[in-house]
Amino acid sequence: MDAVIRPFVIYFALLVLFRITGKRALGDLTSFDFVVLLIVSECVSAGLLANDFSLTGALLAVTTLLVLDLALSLLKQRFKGLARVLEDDPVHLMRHGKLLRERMQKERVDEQDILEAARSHHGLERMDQIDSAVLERHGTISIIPAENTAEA
Amino acid sequence: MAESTGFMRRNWRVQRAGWVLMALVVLLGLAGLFGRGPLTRRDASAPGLALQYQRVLRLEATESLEFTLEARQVGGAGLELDSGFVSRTEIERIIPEPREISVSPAGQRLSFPAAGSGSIAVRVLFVPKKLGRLRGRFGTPGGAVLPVSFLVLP
Repeated sequence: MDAVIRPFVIYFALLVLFRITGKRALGDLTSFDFVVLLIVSECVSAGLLANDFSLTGALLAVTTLLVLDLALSLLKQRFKGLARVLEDDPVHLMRHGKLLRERMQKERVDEQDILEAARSHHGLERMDQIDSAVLERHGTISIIPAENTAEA
Repeated sequence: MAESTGFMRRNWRVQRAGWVLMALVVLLGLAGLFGRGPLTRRDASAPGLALQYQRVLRLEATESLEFTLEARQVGGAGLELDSGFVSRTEIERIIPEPREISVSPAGQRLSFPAAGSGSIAVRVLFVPKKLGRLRGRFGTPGGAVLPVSFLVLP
């Protein structure tokens, strides 16, 4: 019973904590973000399994986590409001070539992050080559190049 | 891109069947089919001795036996764990700590001091070390014996 309840509690606790902390894509993690993530998993594993080092306990915990994830994804598909609460909305950080500073500050994104996304996905080097930048729900920054960039 | 609609549909069907199976495993786990739940909790009793235990245990996990002993004799109460049980498990802790543990080929005898008559709750924490069927015979010195059978899962 506790091999189901513990993952359940941890799943929702982490969901709330990470949702409050804000978006940051796994691919965009800094080395230290990654280290923090490893420490989090280490801290959680003790609470997840307690004194149960059996295969049954481990598989039950993993199955519970996957079922919760699956159930939430199905619920999010059905109830769009829930998806919004759990995953947030995409946020424009730049529109028609203009940086939206307040949003950038609130989302803890700076010009360098936008330029980095522009370089890596579109090979763009300057701000004036970008029309829009959107912080997606999963934390990646999507870039829409300015119209004249193709010829430039 | 090679795309087979037939394969896609079969894949979806298998996936959905898997989801149902996984949800079932979680529900049965919650009920305690794999140990530590109401489904496998058992009570056993004999004159002067009662035991609450889990019928299904897990290998290398800390499990517990909850005994209630009646301290009728002056000087305390005793509990005997048979050698078959002791050899297939690792006794991690006994609460309260026994005043004396004596070992014989038949098993272990634990003695607990008691101030007066009444019942004493004794908790034995142990770790199963062998897979499969585990049998235990628990009793009071010269008194009733409770034969108990467990199933140890990996």
